[in-house]
Amino acid sequence: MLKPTIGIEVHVELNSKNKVFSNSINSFKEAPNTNISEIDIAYPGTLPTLNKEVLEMALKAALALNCNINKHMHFDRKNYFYPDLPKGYQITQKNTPIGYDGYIEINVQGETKRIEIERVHIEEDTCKSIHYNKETFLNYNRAGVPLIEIVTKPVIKSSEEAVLYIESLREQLLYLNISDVKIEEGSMRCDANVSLSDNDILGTKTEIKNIGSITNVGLSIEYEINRQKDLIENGIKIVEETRKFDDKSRQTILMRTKETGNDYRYFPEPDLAFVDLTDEYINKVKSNLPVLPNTIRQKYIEAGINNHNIKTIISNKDICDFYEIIFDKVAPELAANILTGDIIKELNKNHISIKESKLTGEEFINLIKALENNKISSKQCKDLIPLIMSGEKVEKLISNSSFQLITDKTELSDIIDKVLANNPVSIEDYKAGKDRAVKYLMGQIMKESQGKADPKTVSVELISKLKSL
Amino acid sequence: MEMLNKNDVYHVANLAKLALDEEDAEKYHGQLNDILTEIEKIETVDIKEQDIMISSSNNTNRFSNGSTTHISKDEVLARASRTNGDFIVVSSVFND
Amino acid sequence: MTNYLSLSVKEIHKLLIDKKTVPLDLVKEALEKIENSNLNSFITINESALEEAKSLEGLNIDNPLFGIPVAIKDNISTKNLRTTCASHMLENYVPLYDATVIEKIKEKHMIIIGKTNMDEFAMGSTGETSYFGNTLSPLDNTLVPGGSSSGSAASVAANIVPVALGSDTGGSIRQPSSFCGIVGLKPTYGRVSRYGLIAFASSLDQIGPITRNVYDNALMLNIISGMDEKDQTSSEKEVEDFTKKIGKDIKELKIAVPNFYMGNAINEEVKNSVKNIINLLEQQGVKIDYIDMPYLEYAIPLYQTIALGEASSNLARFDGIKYGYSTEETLDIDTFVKKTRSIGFGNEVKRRIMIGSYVLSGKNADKYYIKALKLRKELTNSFKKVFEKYDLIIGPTNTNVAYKLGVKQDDALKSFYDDLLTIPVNMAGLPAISIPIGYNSEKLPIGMHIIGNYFKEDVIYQLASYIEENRGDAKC
Repeated sequence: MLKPTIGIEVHVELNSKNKVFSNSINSFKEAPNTNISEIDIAYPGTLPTLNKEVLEMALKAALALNCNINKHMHFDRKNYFYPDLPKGYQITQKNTPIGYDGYIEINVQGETKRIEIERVHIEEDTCKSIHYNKETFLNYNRAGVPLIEIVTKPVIKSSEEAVLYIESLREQLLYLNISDVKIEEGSMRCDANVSLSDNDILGTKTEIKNIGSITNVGLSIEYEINRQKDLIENGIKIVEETRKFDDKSRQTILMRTKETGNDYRYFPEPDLAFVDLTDEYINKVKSNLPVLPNTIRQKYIEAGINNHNIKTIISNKDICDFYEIIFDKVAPELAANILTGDIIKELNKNHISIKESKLTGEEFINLIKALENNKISSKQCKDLIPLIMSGEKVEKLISNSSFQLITDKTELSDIIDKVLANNPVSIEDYKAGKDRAVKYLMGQIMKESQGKADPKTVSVELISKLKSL
Repeated sequence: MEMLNKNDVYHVANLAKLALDEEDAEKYHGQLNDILTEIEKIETVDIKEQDIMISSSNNTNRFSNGSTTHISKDEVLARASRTNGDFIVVSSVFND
Repeated sequence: MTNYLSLSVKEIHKLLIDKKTVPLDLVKEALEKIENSNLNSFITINESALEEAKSLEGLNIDNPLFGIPVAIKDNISTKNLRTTCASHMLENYVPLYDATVIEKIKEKHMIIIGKTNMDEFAMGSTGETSYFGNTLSPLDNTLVPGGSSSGSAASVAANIVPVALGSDTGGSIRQPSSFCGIVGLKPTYGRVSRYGLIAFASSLDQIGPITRNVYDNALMLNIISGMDEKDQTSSEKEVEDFTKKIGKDIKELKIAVPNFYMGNAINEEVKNSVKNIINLLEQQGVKIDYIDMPYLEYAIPLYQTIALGEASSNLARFDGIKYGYSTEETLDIDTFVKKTRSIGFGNEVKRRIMIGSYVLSGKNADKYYIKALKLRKELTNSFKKVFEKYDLIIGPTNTNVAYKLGVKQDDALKSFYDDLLTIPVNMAGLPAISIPIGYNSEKLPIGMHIIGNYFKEDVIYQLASYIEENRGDAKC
């Protein structure tokens, strides 16, 4: 039976301050060709230098992916011609990748599986090229931007696993703070190699390049598996090719047939010094790694937070960072509910991130505590949210008289009487022993009081009145 | 013994991104073979050394100083062969 | 016209201090000499030289090279001053930045007279591969001045400038210095920053001074040396005063002469000239031993593999897209690049790029390139062993003296043979000098090669200046 084998190559743009082999600022969102040094554009006589911050970021990635670290490294030149490659070669690491033989865990249908990672290495990005009307427009801002390339061993067995891998990898890298890993923006690029075989020998593989989204990773691989299956079953031999995924037709399309072994003429880069990583340095970086998503996830599970909330919080690093600040200080599930519910709703309404809002951890804690201690009702809580997100303080808001809960029994008594008068059926239900009638009546009373009735007092009064009816 | 045949010459010219016509290929064929015969001595010499020497510099852990150099767009475009005022322009070959 | 520029830097400096001349006059002298010269040793004259010299008026003469005119080999990047590498490819290229050595010489207020002619992209040993026509030898216009630093050597030998900068990848400073009867040093690899030197072979290239005497050479080395953050291969080694051992007693020096360097490949008159110096030194009590040094004979194939391999990669950036010559025709990008490079580069360059691509290609990389890097280590071990016992290694710089122009045109191999004796030094990264030691029967200069241990240029200068003082031969 034909079984698929998949390998994935990911290129990740690092968000260091400077480019990897030159001192230019690492950014290319400005106007074209305005962020270039003489080194980036390969003027004659220029030489590369290595950026320490990039090295450290790459090391973090390699450690987070459980790799062995190559302690004595050099760089290599990968020689080929392409208009977007200014030097006519790319500086990369062929023989001594910073990390090798690592892994990342994914959860496939309840089972934990390790996806083995063959290598993590540092290299530089090419120019950005735009193709239009038989011409190519070159923007050198991106030349020299730092990349790490992460290559799995051919151990992925389905499109589902592939998607889980990419999601897991992306999350890991996001939490390391070394990249914003946005596939749609190109700071994370995925290529997949797919082959089919009915025995232990790997079949001929095809490459799907530059897959534009995580969803498309799954779709393109699934399509490719089926396409190859069809061909093989019809006796047609698979040819090594490079393909791309077309969003509209949802098919992989041939880009070019792979030239027999691209001759990259690799040789050690003579212009860069060696890099020696001491055990001390590696351990220091390791111990300073930020807490990674799987660890956080475990903590939340143990705290009893529901899966939906966990997923929502972790998938948004800014939200997670915020939640981590307040986690120990309030009832976690309650805080999670409010955060993933009303807070996110308000952020989306205003198209801002939590960082951009004026909400502080302190005020959020105050809000939750007020709710916990019944100083405010949930309706009132909802009303307070936009206000504290614009920077107002909980205590001040509550002390404003219009926010006080009604605890006066006489006042409440009137409201309760009104509600009871309007809901004779509920009274009958209560008498018939149906508890949900109480809940319903509570709700109506809260509604009538515009959320200001103190639930505790109401509860006591309501039961007493019902009993007397 | 001939190291390169005519096809090899074209192949190597392609790697080096050089255009060769029939006459050039003929001329270079002989010259390249002469040089490569000399280079054969590298393959045949018996040596014990297993380590490579990339250069005599054994510099380690050199990191750049973080200061930036910068060139203006106008200066870059002024030196390029073809531009459209913002980009450097070339004719396409691939459409990826 | 004055002839101050035929004096030593030390002497010119004194004239400046004594106010007997000013930098402006020195520059005028140089420019006039160039105009009257048929040597074709310059590709570009610095139009601002007079202005720069004028602006030095009133400034304190704060160092021995203040106001001294200097010629720069045209593969060293000079801001706003055309830098061509003697190639059609860079015929109109004007750099936006100064090489680090240029920054240093400007700091010392030297005046750049212009950019000197050379073999195209430093590939050659006669000056004949230049797109701008070959340089003539000031000694005899029918002979080669040597290469690839042809113009720098010729300009110094012709007294147009007292100092020039050249570059040396396999002998390109030492060989033309030898042919022209002057002094040229290739420093230890990493001694002088390569930032701004348009690369030929990254692991072999070094910039070095070309002068008429040893002391001036040491003065120049003082100012161009030093660690450069922009060049990760540059050494952190302290720059001391390289003149400090000049004039010191040489008796304690132990010198080795490899038999290969005095073997059959060397012309008899050249050998005799070197033998005379050996006798002179032995009379002083210096210990000189003839030794066997393995692997020296692999110089040429080593160079052809490593230098050309690296060069094929270093020259890949010349695609006509970002700068330099490009074909006028609108073609698909592949043809555009090929046509540009085929027209932009001369034959010697093209040949070398093809060889370089070949030795790095596919299975060849292990067979040739990687093996060559191992052989290189063996050769270096060989040198290191010698330097355990000896301070210096000497021999002739070349197998013979300067020869007729046009002799080596079509022979693909011959262009490498001039560097047989000098290449091993680049392979190991050691420093070495060529100094004139006499003439052959045709009155053509013979050069002696002195190789020092890593970063021991001061010891080289010590011996070189002794020989210069005491050899008794007529100066050029």
